[in-house]
Amino acid sequence: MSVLELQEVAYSYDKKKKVLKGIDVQMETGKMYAILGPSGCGKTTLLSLLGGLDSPTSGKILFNGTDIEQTGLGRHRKKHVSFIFQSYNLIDYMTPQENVRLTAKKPALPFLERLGLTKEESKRNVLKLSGGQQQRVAIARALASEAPVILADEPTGNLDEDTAQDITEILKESAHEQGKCVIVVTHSGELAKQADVVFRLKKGTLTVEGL
Amino acid sequence: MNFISRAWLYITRKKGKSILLFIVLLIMATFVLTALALGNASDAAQQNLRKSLGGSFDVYFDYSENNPYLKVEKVEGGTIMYSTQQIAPELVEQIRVIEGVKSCGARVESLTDFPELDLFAGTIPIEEEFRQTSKILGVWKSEELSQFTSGQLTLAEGRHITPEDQNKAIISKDLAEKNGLKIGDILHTQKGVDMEIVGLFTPKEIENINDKVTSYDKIQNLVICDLPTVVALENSPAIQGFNELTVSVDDPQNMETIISKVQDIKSVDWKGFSIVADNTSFENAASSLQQLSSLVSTILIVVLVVSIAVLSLILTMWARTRIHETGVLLSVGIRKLSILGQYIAEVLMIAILAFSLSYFSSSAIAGQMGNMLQAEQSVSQVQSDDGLSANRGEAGTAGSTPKIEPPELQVTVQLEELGLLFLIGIGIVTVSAGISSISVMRLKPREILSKMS
Repeated sequence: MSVLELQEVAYSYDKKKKVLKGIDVQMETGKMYAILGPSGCGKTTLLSLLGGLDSPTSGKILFNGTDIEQTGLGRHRKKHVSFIFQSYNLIDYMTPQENVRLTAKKPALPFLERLGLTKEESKRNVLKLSGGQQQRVAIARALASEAPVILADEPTGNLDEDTAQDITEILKESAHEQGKCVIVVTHSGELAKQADVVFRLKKGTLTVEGL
Repeated sequence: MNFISRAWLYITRKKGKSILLFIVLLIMATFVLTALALGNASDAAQQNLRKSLGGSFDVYFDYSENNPYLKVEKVEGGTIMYSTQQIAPELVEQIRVIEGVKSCGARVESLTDFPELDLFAGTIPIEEEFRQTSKILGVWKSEELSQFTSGQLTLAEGRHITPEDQNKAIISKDLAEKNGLKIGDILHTQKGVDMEIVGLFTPKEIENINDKVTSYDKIQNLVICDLPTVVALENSPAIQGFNELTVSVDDPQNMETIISKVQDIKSVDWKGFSIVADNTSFENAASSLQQLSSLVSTILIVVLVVSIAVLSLILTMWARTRIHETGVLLSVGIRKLSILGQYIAEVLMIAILAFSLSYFSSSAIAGQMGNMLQAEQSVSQVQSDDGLSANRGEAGTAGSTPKIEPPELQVTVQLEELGLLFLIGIGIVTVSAGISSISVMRLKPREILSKMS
């Protein structure tokens, strides 16, 4: 059964320019999806709609069969999805542990240690960590929230090749071993290759690569 | 993590901002608390001043054509003008029992000859026929006479004149000693009305050698007696009661109410009387305190307006720098209300500390500021109305002119004022923090994230 379903989802900033045109797609848990497309094609907009940060101009987004507008976008963001951003978006006056505890009820340290941060590092201010470490904290925060859907916007965009590969592995592991539905918006062909399903967003429509 | 925990983390980690906000709030609270303390001290001082000075109003015959009881009669050597409706002792008693009335100085003046007395000489030469003449004051209760209540005269021996007395008198101790008189002795008048001396008074001051005064106006020659004695001496329709009454009240603020109550007394026709209120002592002495009160109120308003403006400006600027944080918190599912609660809680935590410490800072400066402000005010010295001099205009008989100065301000910061500061301050801080965050809060999460990127 699909965890997220888009039904005829369209979005436009104004009446003339439609960014998304009647997208129909279903996404399941346990899989990693990649959404590819040129800059400005609406990838981040689509991710925002999936994450309840905005509402479609028309159409519906269902989570486990229920319209997220009915559930409430705030509740959808809190219970169903978690975000990973290219620029990490951590709270700068908190430690990694505190950032993870923003959403988690469980202890934060095991999540951070699993992602390679030491106990000492997890108590530092996040701004004193490297980019890779900060992104690991962001992923730990997403995993600790227990939301079944992880939405990642260019998660490896600011990282070097090795770190990017590590992060990609972690995301894959989250999908395959922890049963999350991981949706990654990316420019990176390398990252997309490792996804279970690759979508391409072009001129407002979403197509599955390779079909 | 709840909003209180997030707020605590913010204020403890962003030390620079927290210290700056603490200083702003401490200064604001110190000014507000100082102004509140000064205001309350000024109000208390005015209240004490009112109680200590009191106020008075005089009831006179109306000598205008409006008085239907006014009569003008020709007598040997001229005319006399009098009112057939005079101030009877019964009216004085009715006024005296009105709540708030402190004393009733009812009096009628006359001159009479004391052939056996060796009077003190005045500095103004007088005709031979007046050499044995002195002023005689018929009273209701001598202890309520303004000369005694003001301390101008003091009863040295014996007792006061009461409404029940007949042919009783109080004279000056000096006059008694000069004539070898004592309490119980009889004063003889030329008209055959005798008076028993029941008391001796001493004046606070006597006339200076340079003061121009006749012998019959000298304070040492004054004879204070009961009303029936004056009526018997005059034996005239012009003097059948008192012709003047000074009513002292506890609190000048109640003057108008008391005058209304007096005018409600139906046993007399008030068309025949004039009532003149005298609040000068209080008004003069209180004017500097009133100026201080106005100044303090102005300071308080200015401080509050400036505080709100500065606080709102700082918080609005800070809210704009926190768009990123707001977006992140929204994206991880934290509700707007919880984020707003965090921002308000941060300011409140600092405010509570600042407000508490302002008790000490304002206590330290409030007293000094009170003295400084009071020193800047013009301290009026007013003359107390002594009755005799005001009515007759002579130099000398009244003697003393007591100086009344506004009381010193006792400025201390009270817990009630601290409570008020907390009430006002928390209100201002909450509103300022709320308003400054609204511009960010009303954005959609995606708009915030767009601003972030």
